[in-house]
Amino acid sequence: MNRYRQLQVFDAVAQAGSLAAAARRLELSVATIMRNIGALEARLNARLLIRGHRGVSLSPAGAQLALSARQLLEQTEEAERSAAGVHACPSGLLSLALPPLMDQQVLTPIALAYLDAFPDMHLATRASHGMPRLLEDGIDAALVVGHLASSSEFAMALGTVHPIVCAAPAYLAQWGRPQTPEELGRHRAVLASAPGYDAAWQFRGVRRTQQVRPAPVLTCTTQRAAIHAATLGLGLVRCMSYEAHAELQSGQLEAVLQPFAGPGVPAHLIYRHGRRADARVRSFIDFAAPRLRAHPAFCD
Amino acid sequence: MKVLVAVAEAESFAGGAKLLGLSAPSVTRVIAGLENRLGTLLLARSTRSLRLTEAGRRYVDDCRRILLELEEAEELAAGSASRARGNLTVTAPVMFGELFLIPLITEYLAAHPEVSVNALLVDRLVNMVEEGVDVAIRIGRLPDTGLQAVRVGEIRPVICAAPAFLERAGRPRVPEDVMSAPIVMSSASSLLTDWHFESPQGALTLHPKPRLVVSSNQAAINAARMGWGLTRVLSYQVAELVARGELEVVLADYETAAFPVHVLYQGSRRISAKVRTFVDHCTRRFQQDPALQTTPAA
Repeated sequence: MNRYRQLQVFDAVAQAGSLAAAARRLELSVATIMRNIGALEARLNARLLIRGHRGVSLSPAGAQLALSARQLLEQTEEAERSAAGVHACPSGLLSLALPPLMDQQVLTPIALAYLDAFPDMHLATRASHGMPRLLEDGIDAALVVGHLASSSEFAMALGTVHPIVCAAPAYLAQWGRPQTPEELGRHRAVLASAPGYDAAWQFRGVRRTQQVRPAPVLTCTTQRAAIHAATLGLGLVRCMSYEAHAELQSGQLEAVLQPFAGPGVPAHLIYRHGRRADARVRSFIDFAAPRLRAHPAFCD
Repeated sequence: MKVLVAVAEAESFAGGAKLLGLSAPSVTRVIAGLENRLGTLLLARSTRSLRLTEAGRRYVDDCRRILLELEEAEELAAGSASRARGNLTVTAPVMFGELFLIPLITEYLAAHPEVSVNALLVDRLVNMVEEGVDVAIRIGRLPDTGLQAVRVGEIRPVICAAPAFLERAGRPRVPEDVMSAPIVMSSASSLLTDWHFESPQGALTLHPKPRLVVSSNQAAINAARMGWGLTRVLSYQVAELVARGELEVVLADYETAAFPVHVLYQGSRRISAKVRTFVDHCTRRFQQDPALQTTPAA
């Protein structure tokens, strides 16, 4: 008798709470169910079910096994779906976490092409600051910027993004183009105050203790607002290269102090389960990863 | 006083220190000295957080008022009643702020070089007195707050799509048509997830199932612009794109009543020059802006 079958029968009994209900669910006879459970108990040399007057309940050993059995069966089913998924049509909802501004600057066209290619898929993206918790927050995949801590997630490198300081050409014409970080003292800045954006401006070659940051003429909550103000010529803004990708491409903003730019930061696509990812996740990763890697926002 | 107010606002010594550009230990020392002098505990410290005691809360309220009056007195004494200076704190809903308020602030700062601005762009109702906000932009009906309010325009939820999409997929004629169309929705605003309609036959609310949910209104608008489907946003967010013909409003006959837009400020006290000039500037510019005036879709 195969072990997978025994586990499947035991799982059905544990879920249904009675031999008869499990038999109905699996379309087997009660006798077959009992034979499977008996074989499993004999093999493990442990009593798994307590037979009472009103059906069966799980022994402590049985409760323990029921948990592992559920996980094992789910993983097996997923592995099968994943293997089949290469050719199948995935369906359902994919939940995706992104840093703020990433969908507007980079992802939306790729997301739309994905939805066109997989007509039964739905996609929900949400902004997340810092490292999203996939399992806890019910997220299938996330685009993350930053150094990854080792964890159980699978990560695909997309490229590198850079911290930059930039301003509108009109601002640079009026206030001059700073040539060294020390010159920032004579400049005006637009700052975002949202968490993660309030850091000091760091530059390569500047003593670490020296925090260079021009006086803010405008402090606003969101980075999008800060970048908008910078395009209107209000002052210098510091951002990650992808956050102002469209503005830099169109020439609305120009990067300054490039020789002093801090080190690049990696961007990854992370997801749970790795190779066993089900067809939904697999289809998105396979579709989006090459397109994101080719995106100029992630290239030097 | 300034130190205590900053610590109370940041809810931490380190945060308060950063606001003032001081070190955390010196801030801690100042507060301890103040508590000693007053003979009462102002801050309840625990390992993870900091909050004001009852006495501290009353004292901080008094401090805020006194500091504000001090600032005004200094402004008057400096003979600059007519000249705007100092830091101005304004608040607005996120996307309204990003799109409409930022350009106005930029113009204002160019004209008033001694003012700096802190723009609190949040989609929650800010208590202007408690959070020290000078000017607020509000969308929607106003509760009775005792604040001065100037009505500057109105906006309405609209459903829109790119002309190329409407040509390909057909133009929705009745609200029910949206249920079978591709929809992109923003999760940023709860205001827009229920689709309300009104017609002579009565009110109707639909919950279309979006195939794409994005985290910002801007991303939803971008997707609609690319001809992918329908989205529902506030009229001002797409006014320019509609004017340029990149997006078209559909089902305009079924739109619900518009929301008013107000500029609010605290008017009970003497109004400082920076508040007066900023309110004047906003009022004038918003009232001239066609995106905020009702222009029924043709």
